[in-house]
Amino acid sequence: MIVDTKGQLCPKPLILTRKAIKEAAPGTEIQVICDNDIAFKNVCSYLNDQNIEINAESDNNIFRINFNTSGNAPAPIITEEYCPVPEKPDAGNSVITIKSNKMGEGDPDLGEILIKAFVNTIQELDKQPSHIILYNSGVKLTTANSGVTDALKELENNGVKIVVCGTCIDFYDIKDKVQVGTVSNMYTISDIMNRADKIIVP
Amino acid sequence: MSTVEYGGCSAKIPPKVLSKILEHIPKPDNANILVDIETHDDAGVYKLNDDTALIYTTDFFPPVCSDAYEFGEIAASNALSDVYAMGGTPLMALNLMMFSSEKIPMESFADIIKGGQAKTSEAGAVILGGHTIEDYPPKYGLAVVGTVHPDKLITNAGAKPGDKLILTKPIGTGVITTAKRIDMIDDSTYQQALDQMKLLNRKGAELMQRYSANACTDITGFGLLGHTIEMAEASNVTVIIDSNSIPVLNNAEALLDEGCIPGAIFRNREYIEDKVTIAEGVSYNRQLISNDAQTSGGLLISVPAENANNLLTDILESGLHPMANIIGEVIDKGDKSAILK
Repeated sequence: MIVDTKGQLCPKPLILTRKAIKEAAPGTEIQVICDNDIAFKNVCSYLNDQNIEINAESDNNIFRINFNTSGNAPAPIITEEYCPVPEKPDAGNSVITIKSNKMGEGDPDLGEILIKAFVNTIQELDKQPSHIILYNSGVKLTTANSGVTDALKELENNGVKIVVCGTCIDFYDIKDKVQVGTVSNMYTISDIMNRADKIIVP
Repeated sequence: MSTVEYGGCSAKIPPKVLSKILEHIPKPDNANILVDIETHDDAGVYKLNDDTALIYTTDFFPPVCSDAYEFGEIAASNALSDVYAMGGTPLMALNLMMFSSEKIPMESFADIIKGGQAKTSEAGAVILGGHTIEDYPPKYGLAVVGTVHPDKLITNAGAKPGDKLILTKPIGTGVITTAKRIDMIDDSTYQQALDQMKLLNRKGAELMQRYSANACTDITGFGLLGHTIEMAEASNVTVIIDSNSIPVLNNAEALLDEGCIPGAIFRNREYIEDKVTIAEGVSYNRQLISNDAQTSGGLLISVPAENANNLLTDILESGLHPMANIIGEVIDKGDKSAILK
């Protein structure tokens, strides 16, 4: 069983490890993968406390901890010196995709009010998204009079990447009216979504 | 809160690292210095004259909660606590603020300051000013000056064999705030922890003076065992802690069962494991929680045994510390500084 904790902040890796042990049948081989030194050390300390023998390996700041749930060490694996340099764990990014110039289904006027409120609120969020992707009629929010261009510009200034679907602005013929964001293609859009830890669809 | 991995006192530099650095810093030599860094106490103390000594301390850290006002309250309570832990009364303070005006709305800045102001006023002290620099994630705290009569000074170095130990607040704030960050707990559990962190240690400080406490420290980033051991070493005694008597916040142990173990617990344990004997039968959770980094934790008071029950009764009757308890006792110095049984 593989427990992949890459991108997870402490103590999430430990929680996932604990859960795997609890749910696995006795004797199950488990490999926990961590991508930062702190998570690695904490998981090792915890397993040591449980008298579970481990074999650990590290490669390029990816740590693999092998053990089995009956507490015996699995077949030996090359154990290297661990790189002690703590690496700042990736907190995980979120991506907001805006697929329409309205939020929710129902009255279209209400939908427009809601999407404006939503975009204007993003800045107040504790954690800012890495990207905001606008496609289909969502691209209309990047034009003047949409009521949210200022908010989008400010987000962009604060480092949030605003990605606008090129096919969509061609289709709605608003290419000259886009005031904010970077026009992009479907490959980039799907790639950003694919890499996201969390996608938010208002 | 989302701006940091380690908020509150768990953001401290690991104790092992810190003591290595500090051992190379020359200590000042002045007859008026009553307490310096030698005994790892909570604050420095300087005797002005026969009636007044100044208690001087500072503390600041990154957010432990999402609400800016509450963060201000907690950071201020925590900074003021060092004065209380020495048996003193806070007199005045300065705001220390690191804040990003670009990344965080300025209203939050105002709210943090207001929260700090409210707690400082509640403590009867005044804020005279402060200093702000651009930094992200934000950090806030106070530099505090308090006063105490030199004869009434209570350090962490006076614990005597035979004393009982009273802890005024439950521990587990590190576990609870970590669980909050990853959204593992309900609001009431979280609120209980916030309320404890916001609570001033004033009452405990007042009462321990009345009952001639021999020593005191407040429990913060190094955890209950870490600070207990500092007290034991400074006092040249051994301390026995009864693990089952330690007050613990609701649900904290259930979270440990789930594996929600903050990294600070392992870091703190590494520092003290050579200095403590863990008796057989102490549960794994109680071992862990004893090393949980506390933010604005309670007072650990070493008081003569004959006064212990009365002091505890008065603390409980104040209504402020319903979970306060006698958690251990002081014995002659043995092999280890502490025994967790």
